[in-house]
Amino acid sequence: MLILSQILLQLLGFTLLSLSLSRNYSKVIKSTNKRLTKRTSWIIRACGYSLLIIAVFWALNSWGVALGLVYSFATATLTATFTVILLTYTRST
Amino acid sequence: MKSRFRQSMGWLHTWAGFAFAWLLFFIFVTGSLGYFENEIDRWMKPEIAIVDDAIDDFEILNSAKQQLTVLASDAEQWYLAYPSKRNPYIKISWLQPANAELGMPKQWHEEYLAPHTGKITPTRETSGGETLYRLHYNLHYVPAVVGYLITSLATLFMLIGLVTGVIIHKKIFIEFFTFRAGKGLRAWLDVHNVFSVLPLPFHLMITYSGLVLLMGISFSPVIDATYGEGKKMHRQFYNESKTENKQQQTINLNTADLSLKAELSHKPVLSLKTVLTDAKARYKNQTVSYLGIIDRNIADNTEQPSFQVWLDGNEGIEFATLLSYRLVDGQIQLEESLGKTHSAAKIYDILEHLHEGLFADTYLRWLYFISGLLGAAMIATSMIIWVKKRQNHPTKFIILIDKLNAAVVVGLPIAIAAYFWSNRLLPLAMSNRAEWELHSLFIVLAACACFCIVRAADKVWKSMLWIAATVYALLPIGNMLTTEHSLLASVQQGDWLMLGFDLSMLCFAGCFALAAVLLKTGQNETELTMKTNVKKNMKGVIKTC
Repeated sequence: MLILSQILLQLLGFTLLSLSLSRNYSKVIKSTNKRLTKRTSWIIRACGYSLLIIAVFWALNSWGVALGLVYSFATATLTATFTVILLTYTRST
Repeated sequence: MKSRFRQSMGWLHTWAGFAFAWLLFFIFVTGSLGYFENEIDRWMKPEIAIVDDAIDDFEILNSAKQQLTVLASDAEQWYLAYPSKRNPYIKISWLQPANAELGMPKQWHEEYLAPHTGKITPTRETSGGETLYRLHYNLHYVPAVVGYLITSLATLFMLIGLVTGVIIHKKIFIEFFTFRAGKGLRAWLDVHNVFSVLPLPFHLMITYSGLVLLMGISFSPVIDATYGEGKKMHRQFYNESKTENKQQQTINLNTADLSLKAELSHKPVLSLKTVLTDAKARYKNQTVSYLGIIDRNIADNTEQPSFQVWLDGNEGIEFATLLSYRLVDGQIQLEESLGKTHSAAKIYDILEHLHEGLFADTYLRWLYFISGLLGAAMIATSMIIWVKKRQNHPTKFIILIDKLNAAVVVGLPIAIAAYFWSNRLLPLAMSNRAEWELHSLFIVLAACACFCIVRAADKVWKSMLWIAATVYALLPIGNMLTTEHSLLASVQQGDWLMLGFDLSMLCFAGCFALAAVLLKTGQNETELTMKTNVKKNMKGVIKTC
């Protein structure tokens, strides 16, 4: 369960981070009049980073420093790769 | 050299990578397989009987002791491995002293016991998972020291490649999530970045720790300078650096049952049985993974044998706790090791444990494996990019490199499949059977290279991918025909390791076939590598859940 919540938290974090970039934002949110403003980008990015930081601290707290870091980095590889795949292969309508 | 910093780093990145790309691909693939060493071992010894119910620790001890007394009466060390989730079988091993008459060197032997009956289960002679992963630093056909030096040099270049790669990658955050599929060279560069940047912590850790692990060899002049040259002098260095902090105490043994108490009332006696009882009483929540005796038959009787108990509960990334019992002046002394004394040795230990990942559970083990394969994929994509960049004016040399790239990138997986196949197909009574399994690997690799050279350049990748798909798809069938382990039988017996191995082989076959199909339709196989990763990632997740 702990692993699953880590994965979900990081996945959300990375998704937000990717959306804070205009290239990915306009790909996911198709409507042309909704361009990514600097302010929105900043907010999304801050949320993404906070989620990732929460995930890391939670991992450190649950597994200890050594194992927590290993779990965090390994999970980050998994979730970030998954985000890239989603962004590349989902065809939004 | 180019004048501008980033350009010269780019030059270094290209050629540092080019110099050792094939070897590094080999190191990453065989090294990644090391994370599943035990699982591969189980597949390569299909005779082993797995323990699927709880057996009393003392019952296992009794049968192990009986066998060891018969087989290894003159051995210096005895070990008994208790069944665990990852190794669900009973294994005994012993260090047999050299026998000059038979011309046998001092060496380790191991046997597996059938649960309940306690009889030896004869297993086939095989190189197993251990020899396969050791290839990634000893290279097998060269003397060990040469292997260590060559792999260290390759690792050094890998580290250079990683650092220069980070420097030349200008938009590391903006392009963090970018993969523009199906756009030729651009797509290959993107996928190379994805494979490099996302598992970057793993790549840096594995490369740096790999370099440090072999520093005793690659930096031996440093040891020479302080301790003097030669093995004997170096021994001093190792002994000093291996000094451990130990907690020593004189104890009375915990005795669980009365008969043991009566036995002990005369004088303190240490035996495997008494130390097992004591350790179980001391650490009630932990399971015992190993029992052992060292210094069993010391001729001059100056030292008493030491009894060891390994407990499974590991702390962080540290190994299991080790308790050792020894009789000193009629008193029982219990020693617990608390890690290395010196900080350099502590750091070395941390890097070693991180590199080997022995502490990892199933989830982390799969992620280690996937990260390793991503590293291999990073190197493979870099080889392809090198060729693609020069494809506008193809010379014979570039075409040859492209063909040999196919021979390494797809040929190595085929050769590893051949290693597995040889385990099932070579006659059981063959002499040097284990050695021939390894020969098969390298013979097939050489054959792949020959095939790639003669095959037309535009067809070579596709042919190789189809061959790989076929040999992997047939492995579970070969397993079913030559042993009693069909997929169905594995499910029925709850033999999850055997089943997992066979299913993984089918999964690899699927990935190779998909790659071949996608190549045909003109799509980039990068996409497929991405899909491969999804599959593998999903598998890791499913296994953990």
